[in-house]
Amino acid sequence: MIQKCKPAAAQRGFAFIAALMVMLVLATLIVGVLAMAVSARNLATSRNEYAEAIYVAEAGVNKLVSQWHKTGAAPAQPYTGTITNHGANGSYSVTWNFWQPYGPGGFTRYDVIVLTSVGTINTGLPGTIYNLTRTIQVNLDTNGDWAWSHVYTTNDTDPQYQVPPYANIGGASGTITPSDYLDEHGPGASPKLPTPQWDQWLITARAQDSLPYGSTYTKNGPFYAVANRHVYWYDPSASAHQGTGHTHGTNWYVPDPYFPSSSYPDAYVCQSTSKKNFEIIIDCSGSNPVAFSGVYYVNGDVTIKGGQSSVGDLTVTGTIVATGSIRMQGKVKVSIEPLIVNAQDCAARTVYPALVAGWDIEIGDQSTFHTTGVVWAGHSFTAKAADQAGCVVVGGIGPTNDGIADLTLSGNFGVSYGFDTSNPSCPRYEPGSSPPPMFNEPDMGAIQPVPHSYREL
Amino acid sequence: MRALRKTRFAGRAGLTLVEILIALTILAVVLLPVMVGFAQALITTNQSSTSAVASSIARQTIESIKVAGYSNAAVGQTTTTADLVPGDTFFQVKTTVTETEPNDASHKGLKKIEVLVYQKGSSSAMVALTTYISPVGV
Repeated sequence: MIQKCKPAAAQRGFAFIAALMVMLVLATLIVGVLAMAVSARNLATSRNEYAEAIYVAEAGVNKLVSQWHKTGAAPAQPYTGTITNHGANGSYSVTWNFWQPYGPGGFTRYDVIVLTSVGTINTGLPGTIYNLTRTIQVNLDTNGDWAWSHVYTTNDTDPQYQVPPYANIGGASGTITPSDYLDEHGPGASPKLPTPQWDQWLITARAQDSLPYGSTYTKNGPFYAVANRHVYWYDPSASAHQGTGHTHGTNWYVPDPYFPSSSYPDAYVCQSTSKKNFEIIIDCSGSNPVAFSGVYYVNGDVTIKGGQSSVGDLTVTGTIVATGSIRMQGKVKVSIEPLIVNAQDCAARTVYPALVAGWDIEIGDQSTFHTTGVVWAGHSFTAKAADQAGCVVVGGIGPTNDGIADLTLSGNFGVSYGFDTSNPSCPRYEPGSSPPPMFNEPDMGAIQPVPHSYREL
Repeated sequence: MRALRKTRFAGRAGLTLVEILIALTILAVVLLPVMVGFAQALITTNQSSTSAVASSIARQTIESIKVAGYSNAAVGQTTTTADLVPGDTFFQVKTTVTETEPNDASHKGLKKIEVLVYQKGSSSAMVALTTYISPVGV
């Protein structure tokens, strides 16, 4: 069988179509290749921009920290600036707040400042992102250096203690204001001040613990267990722990934020409807006085409760440390004699503080507080005295200043230090000469924020 | 045989030289932009690759300054070379360190670090990175 070819007339125009198809394929190919090349170029340029933006963000952090060290005070936020990067316009914006390891509204570490720096870069090059931003987060450890910058005394007549770093706040009433000191740093400057080295306090408290876990001290009633050197609260009965805003019943274990892997709990917290802070209540309302010694570390609040009619007594030889607030309520007479190591050696002695609170210390109008040691509060110290029984007595000031009313000290402060009644010949604390334990010595007001973590958001 | 050939190609004229030339011209016109496009794509790809290497060199330079520490970042300008392939000194790396805040008892210093990476023979920087370092910074 012979297949006949199509006549030539039927094939006319095919060459043109074929040529068009070839050109189309070539055009598609070249467009694709060019697009890929341009895309690769843009990617490389963007990669450069990403690197530029991250270094601009880092520059913002470093400039802020350097300035902070220079002035001793946190700059206003947002801390912003520009950097000209060889034709590109870079800018940074740094903001910060306190570290809340359990999320917003929870436990706050006031000694750790979280910086967030946003670096923005705009090269203006074609194909690049306009105002490309990158964000980094840096935690600053403030080390607690400001705590001992200033020594506040009440009713001190010695001229030596009338000038900074000492400030005589008077014996009657008043509030510390920036005019009480010449330095720009200190109590009135900001509540954003570092806290003591909680970790060290906790380690010390644990090192002193000589009783096995679970030992109880039931003198204050059946509801509160006070193990030696530690204070725990547990709920042996349904009516336990009738603190404000708390309901009875369930206990909650609070993981130790510093030793999360520890099986040695520091505290239990009761179910709370209003707040989640752990609270230890030392009930002194009974007829028997309460006394204990050592370093008592509570990761939360401490409330020392007195009676309505009779005066309860609490005598502590050592230090009460609370990462939250310490309150004295009702008629209670609290005496704290801090531990003094090498008491007879003026040069070598170390005097422990009496009260250390990460937030407030509040002494109620019917409470009496006596101590010869330092009272340290991260936020405020408030003492109200309605009658002769109510007073604030701080060590090394001289005679007891009974009757001080409505004395409010805001911010971090040290209330004299180093006075030893058994050896009054030793001079008082001089800032810079003798740091108290578990506090870093200040450099006269300069905060020392040091980055200790870095991550990109 | 001759008669047969004559019969087979009868009515089928061959391509003239002019037609061939025209076809080649059209082909050249079509292929030229294609070739140019490919060449441009090749150049762009090479530039991207070079730029990526330059970016890595700049980052490496700035990171090594940070790792060496604030006190070891000598103030001044230094120029070094870097290779794209071994021994070619393809890149020039110009590093400028400027102290903007002194580092003494009452200050914590601040130094500005600027790293520029040039391709050999070029006056415009391929990559520019600028940052500040501090002895108490990140």
